[in-house]
Amino acid sequence: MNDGGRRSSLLTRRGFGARLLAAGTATLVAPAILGRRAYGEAKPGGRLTVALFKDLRTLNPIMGIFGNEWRATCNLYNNLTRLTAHGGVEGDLAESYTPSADGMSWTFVLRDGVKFHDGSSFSSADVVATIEKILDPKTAAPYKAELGPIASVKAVDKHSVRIELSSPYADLPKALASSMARIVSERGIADFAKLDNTPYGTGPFVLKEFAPNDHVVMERNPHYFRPGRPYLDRLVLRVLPDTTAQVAALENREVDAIADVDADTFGRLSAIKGVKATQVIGGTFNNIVLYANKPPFDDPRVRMALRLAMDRPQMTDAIAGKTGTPADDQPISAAYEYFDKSIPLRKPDLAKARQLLKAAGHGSGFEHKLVVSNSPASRQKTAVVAQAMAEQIGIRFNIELMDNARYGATIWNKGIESYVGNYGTRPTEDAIISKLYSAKYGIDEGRWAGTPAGKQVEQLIEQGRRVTDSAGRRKIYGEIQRITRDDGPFIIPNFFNSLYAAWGYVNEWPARAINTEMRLDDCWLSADAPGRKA
Amino acid sequence: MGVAYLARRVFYGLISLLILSAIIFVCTHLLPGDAASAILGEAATPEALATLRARLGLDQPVLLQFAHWLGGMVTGDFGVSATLNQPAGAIIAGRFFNSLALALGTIIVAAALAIPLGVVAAVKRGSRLDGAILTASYVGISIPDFIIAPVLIILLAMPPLNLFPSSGFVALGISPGDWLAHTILPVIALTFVLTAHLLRQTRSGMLDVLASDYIRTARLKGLPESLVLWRHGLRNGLTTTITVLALDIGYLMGSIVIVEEIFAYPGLGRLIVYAVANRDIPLVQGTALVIGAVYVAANILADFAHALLNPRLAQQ
Repeated sequence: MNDGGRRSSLLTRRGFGARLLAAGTATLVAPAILGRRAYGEAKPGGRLTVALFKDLRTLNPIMGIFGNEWRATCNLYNNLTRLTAHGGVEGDLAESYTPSADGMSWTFVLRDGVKFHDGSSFSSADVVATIEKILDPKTAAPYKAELGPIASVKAVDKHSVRIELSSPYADLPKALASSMARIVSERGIADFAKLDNTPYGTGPFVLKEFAPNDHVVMERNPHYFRPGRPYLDRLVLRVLPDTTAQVAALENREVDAIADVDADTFGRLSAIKGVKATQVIGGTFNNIVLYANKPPFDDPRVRMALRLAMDRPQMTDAIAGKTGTPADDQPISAAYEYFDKSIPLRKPDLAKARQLLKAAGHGSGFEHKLVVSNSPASRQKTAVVAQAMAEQIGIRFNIELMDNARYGATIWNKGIESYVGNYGTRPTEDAIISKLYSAKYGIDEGRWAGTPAGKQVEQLIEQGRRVTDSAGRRKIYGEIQRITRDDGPFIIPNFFNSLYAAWGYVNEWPARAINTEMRLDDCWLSADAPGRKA
Repeated sequence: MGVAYLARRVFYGLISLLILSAIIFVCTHLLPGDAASAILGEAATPEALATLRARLGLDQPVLLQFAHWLGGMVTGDFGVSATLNQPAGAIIAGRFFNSLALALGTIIVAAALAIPLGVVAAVKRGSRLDGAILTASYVGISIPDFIIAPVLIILLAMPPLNLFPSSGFVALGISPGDWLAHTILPVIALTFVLTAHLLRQTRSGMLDVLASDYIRTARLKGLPESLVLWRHGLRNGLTTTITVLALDIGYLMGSIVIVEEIFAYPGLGRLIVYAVANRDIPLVQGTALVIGAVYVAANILADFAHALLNPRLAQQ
C-alpha cells in the first residue's frame, strides 16, 4: 500500500492519529473523513448510489441479521443513542440520559418536536412499544440478548422514559445504539408484519422503493430533526453480489461508493485513480472453536500448544491481505474503548508447543475435524491457514466444507465439532464478551464457562456491567482480555478491518469500526459528482 | 394431431409438475436447517427458533405443510415467502418476466446465429469455413458462463469501450432504452454456449439429411440447389435443432442462475439461489414449479413444431 498512486488509509475510531498505520497519503485522507470539516462547505443536493454485497431481505430493524439490512435501516430510523466516530456514544432521539444512584435504572429525556415519516409525533410511547417488542419472547428478535438486562421500560411523561434493569448495566446507552434497537413508531409496532417493507421511522431518508435483495431507493426527509440534514436528495442502495461487477460499476461511476469491500478487491479499488479506498480498524473476526469440555482441547495445555503454533502476522497477511490486524485469541480489538494495548502479541514457539503436547499425552500429535461454512469466504481461508500452522506441531485439522444453512442448523454452537465462527464488531466490549463466554448472558460458545478461568471471567463480566468509572472498567476488561487470551476456547488469528471505497467527490462518508452503521445524513457530494448532474 | 392430443400432453405435463413439486418439497425438508434458522442466523436461541417455527407453520407435520401448499396452488395462491414476508406469487411473477426476457432474447439470438452457420458448415463440410465455424463453436462450448460474464464486463462495460452498464436492471416500463442496455450483456453471455450447442446440432442434423435418398432424388430431378437445401433439407434438419433447443431450455435455466448473479439481474435464477440458501420453501416451490412449467411447455411446443415441419409425425 505504499504505492504513491493509491490513496488508501487506515483509521481507527480511537486515537486514530497514533494508529494511522498506512503510509504516506493516509494523513491526507483521515482529517477529511474523521476531522471537523467546515460544514459551511457542504453542498446540499444530488444522488448517491452505494453498492452493497450480499443479501438485503428486510427493512424490519428488529428482525434483521445482515449488515446490509442495518445499512438501510440506519438511514430510515434513529436510535435513542448513536455511536460517535471515535467509539463514544451520544444522544440521538434521546437528548440526555442519566443512571440512578444504584445503577438499576436509566432515565432518557427525549428530543421534542421529532416527527415520524408518516407525520405522527415521536414520544415516549414509541420508545416503550419498540423496546417491549424487542424483549417480547414471541417476537423472537435475534439480537434481543445484546440489549442488556432490561427488566421493564416505562414512560415517565410524554418526553422521558425510564428503563429498569434486573442488574446494573453501565453500557446501556451504547447498547441502545445497536443496529436492532432503532425506534419504530407505536403504529409500526402494531403493524409488525408490514415492517419488512414499510419503515415507520424518523430517519434522515424516507423510503421510495424497495426490492428485496436488489435495491432500495430513498429520498431526503424534509422534516428530519437535524437542521439542514441530510444533504443528499436521493440515496440508492444496490446489491451487487459479484466483485467484478462491483469494481466495474464503481469505475464507471454507476455507483459512487462500495460499502463493504472484500480484502481481495480492496487492492484493485485503491489502484483506481480518484477513488479513496479506506480501512478502519474493525473488530470483526473468525474464531476457531476448541470445545473446552471435551478431549483433546479440554486440556488447557493442548489449547496453549495450538496457540503457540500460530504465527499471527503471517496468518493475518494470508487471510486478510493488507487489510487485517493480528489478534491474540480474544475478541477485543483496538476498535474498542478498553482494548489493552499493553498485552504483547503472542509469538510462535514451536518447541514449547511440542513440549506441551507431549506433556498432555499427545506426543505424536492427533487428527481433529474442523467444519467450515462457505460464507463468508474468509472462514475457509482462516481454516486452511490455521491447518498449515497446526500441522507444524502434529495437530492435523481435517477440514469439512459445508453450506452455510446446513452449518447453522447442525454445527454452529451445537457442542459437537470444532468449527470456524464469524462475529461482527459490537458497540460494547460486554456485548461480544458475554455473548462468547458467559453461560448466563450469552451462549458460552466454547463450553468454557465451567472451567476455573471461565468462572473467573463470568465474575468479571458481572463486575464490568456494574462498574461505571472508566479506570475501573479499563482494568476489568483488560483482565478479561488477558485470561481469555491465555486460556480461552478459541483461536482468533486476526481482526478484519472495515473496508470501503468511494470516489473523491463523496464527502463525509461515515467511517466506522461498525461499518454497518452507515448513516449518510452528513454525507454530501462535490460539484463534480455525476449524481449532481442527473 | 388434435385437441385430444394436446389435452393429453398438458395433462401429463401437469402430473410431472405435481411429482416435481413433491420431490422438491421432500428434498428441501431433507436439507438441514429451515427458514427459522435462516432468519435468526448465528443469533438463534432454541426459544426464538421454536417461536418462529410456530409462526411460520414449520412445526406442522411435513405432509400437512405440503397439502396446505398444494391447496393454495390449486387456487393460484403461491403462499407467503417465509423470509421476505411478501406474497411469493408476486415476487416470482416479477422475476419470471425478467428472466423470460433474457431467455427469449438468448434463444432468438442463438437461433439466428446457429441455424444459418450450422447449415453453411454442413453444406461446406470439410472446407476451411466449416473448420473455422466448428473451432469457434468448440471455444464457445468450452468456456463456462462464470468466465464469460466477467470477461464481457471487463471488455465491453469498462473503459475504454464502456458500451453498456456493467450490471443491474431497469424496468422496461421505466425506460425501454435503459432496459435494453442492461439486458444486452447478460444475453450475450448466455448466447455463447447455447449458440455453440445449437450450431453443432444443426450441422449434424443437416449432414444426415443431406446424405439421405430424398435429397439425392430432389437434386437428380433438377431442383435448384437453394430449394433443395432450404426447403427439403433444412425443414427436416431442423427437427433435431428444435428438440435440442427445447432440451436446452433446462440448460439455459442453469446458466441463468450464474449469469443473473454476476450481472445483479433480478430474475428467477438469483431468486432460486436465495430461496434455497435461506430454506424459503414457498419461494423454492414456486420458482421450481415455474421453471418446470416452462420446461414442460417448451417441450410441448417443440412437439408441435415437429408436427408442423413433418406432418407425418402427427399421424403417428
